[in-house]
Amino acid sequence: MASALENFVNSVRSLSSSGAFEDLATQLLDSTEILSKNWNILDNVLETLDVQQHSLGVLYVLLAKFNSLQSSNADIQVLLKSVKDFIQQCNTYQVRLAAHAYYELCHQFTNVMVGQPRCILGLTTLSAAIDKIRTSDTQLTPIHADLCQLSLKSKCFRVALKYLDVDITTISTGAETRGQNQTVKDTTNNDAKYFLLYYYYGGMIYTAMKNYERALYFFEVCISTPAMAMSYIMLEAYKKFILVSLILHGKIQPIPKYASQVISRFMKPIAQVYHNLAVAYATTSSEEVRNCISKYSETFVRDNNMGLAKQVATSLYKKNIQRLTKTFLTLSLTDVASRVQLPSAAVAEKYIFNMIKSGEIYATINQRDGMVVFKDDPEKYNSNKMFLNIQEDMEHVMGLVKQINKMEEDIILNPIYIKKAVGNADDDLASQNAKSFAGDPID
Amino acid sequence: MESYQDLILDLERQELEAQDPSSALYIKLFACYLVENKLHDAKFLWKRLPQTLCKENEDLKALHVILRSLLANNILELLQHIEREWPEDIKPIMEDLLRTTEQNIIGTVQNAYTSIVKKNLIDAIDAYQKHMNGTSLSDDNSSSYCVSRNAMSVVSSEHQLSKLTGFVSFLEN
Repeated sequence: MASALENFVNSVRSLSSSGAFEDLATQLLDSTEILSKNWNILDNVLETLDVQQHSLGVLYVLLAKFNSLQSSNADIQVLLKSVKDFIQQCNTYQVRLAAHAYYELCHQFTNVMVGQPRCILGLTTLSAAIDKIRTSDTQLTPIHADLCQLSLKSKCFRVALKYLDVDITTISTGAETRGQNQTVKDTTNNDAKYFLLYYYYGGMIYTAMKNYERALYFFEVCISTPAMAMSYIMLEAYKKFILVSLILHGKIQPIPKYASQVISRFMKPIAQVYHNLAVAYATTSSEEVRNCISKYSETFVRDNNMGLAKQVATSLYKKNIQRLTKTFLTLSLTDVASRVQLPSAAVAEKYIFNMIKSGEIYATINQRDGMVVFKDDPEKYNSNKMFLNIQEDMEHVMGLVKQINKMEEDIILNPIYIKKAVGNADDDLASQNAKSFAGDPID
Repeated sequence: MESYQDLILDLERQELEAQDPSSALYIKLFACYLVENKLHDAKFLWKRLPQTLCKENEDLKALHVILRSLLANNILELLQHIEREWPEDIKPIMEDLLRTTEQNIIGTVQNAYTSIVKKNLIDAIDAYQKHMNGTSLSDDNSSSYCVSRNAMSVVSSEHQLSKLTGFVSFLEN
């Protein structure tokens, strides 16, 4: 074994046995290069280390094995299995000291896993990896984005939804443990990338599950993230934001004011096709929308948004039927069909029937006369079901208030905040004093 | 009707861990998704099935037809295809699906129609005539159908009171 690797193994073993994990974590920051160079004997190194006792050492070795995957021609299945075993058995305290390496290992694992035929098998590993590293249920880690990516690839969303349904209160990045040996650009870009990807992929998953409200929220977070320059992830999220907005609200929802100016200025011209679709949608003419979609079909197909664009076209029929309920009390099915540009009364009946079933409109159909009667919302807010709904919403809001109070308290007690706040007060005081002295008539 | 939530969780776990899940596992999970009205989950299960199963397994193909008709609210197609010889382990699940579908049909028709052409309903009903005995549909000898309302769920007043106390104490603090 090369002497550099001997040193590596010795320091891992000695520092681990003496419990000096912080020192070991700092020392290992520079070990990546040495390990990658000696990729051919990394299996021997692994044999000398115990996953539980020397988690930090094993973590770096596994990472090096992934980094040298192309040159080493290693057995991928064996490597994936060893990552799985490592995540199950590793020591949480130790890996938290090298969180950036742990995240990198998960990214590498995902990159390889998405190319596998049974990539669904990686979901439990990533889920376990998140559970291990995060400090609370509401903490976002860069692994979340990997989990969502793998979910989309394997078309299985159950595992990811468990994490997506939880609102995030803190964010864990690799920056805290990464040290100074990498450039600042490298570190900040990656952390932002996985943050944006989480919300982009999350929005896609919710869109697939037809939970459009939550999808819109996820895309909104993605495009309103503070930024000095635009990312392609944000641009793609913006395109989907427009389509989901149209499906859900019939118009483009305003972007929050706190979103970066740079983003809104650059995104609009690039996503012009999508804005044209929104203009066509606003005319309420289904034909216009269909023409617009076929005119720009190449763009929609290239962006992988054709399915969503078609759903936009379908949603216009529904929106137009909903609009009729505001003007008419009774209407014949033939009239409905002609007003919303549907081919026949039977198709109109089908649309109305589906909308009644899903609670989008309140109406009754009379097949004998071929009429439809539109009604007001029959909800009187006096049922037990409604009581339970309100109760659930209030509990949610109460939880939110508690969370905000807690976060505010954390900020008030934060030493940096106090220093800045007190510093500003001192500055103000000093400048006031200076003014009074300057204006002193005695001088 | 029993809840299939636990069974679904167990089957999902098996699917995530098995190297090569059996077709029986997929069939059972598919049927459970349908009976629990998790149609989007069923849709994506179909999409992630191995291609050979999609093409060759008759049970899965039949379940997919049922999923399609449930998504399209096509009652007639659903009732025509649900009548077949299902594998033994999903037979009770499919019977439950038929029962819930029947309740849904009655509920939806009651909500959506004041009058409905008798033939349209009869076409649907013919498909499962033998299951119609003892249901709450009544014929008023005209061209319309009426259906009885379902009983509302009950929440205990103690439960409501304790929740109310919780809200008041929250507002006071």
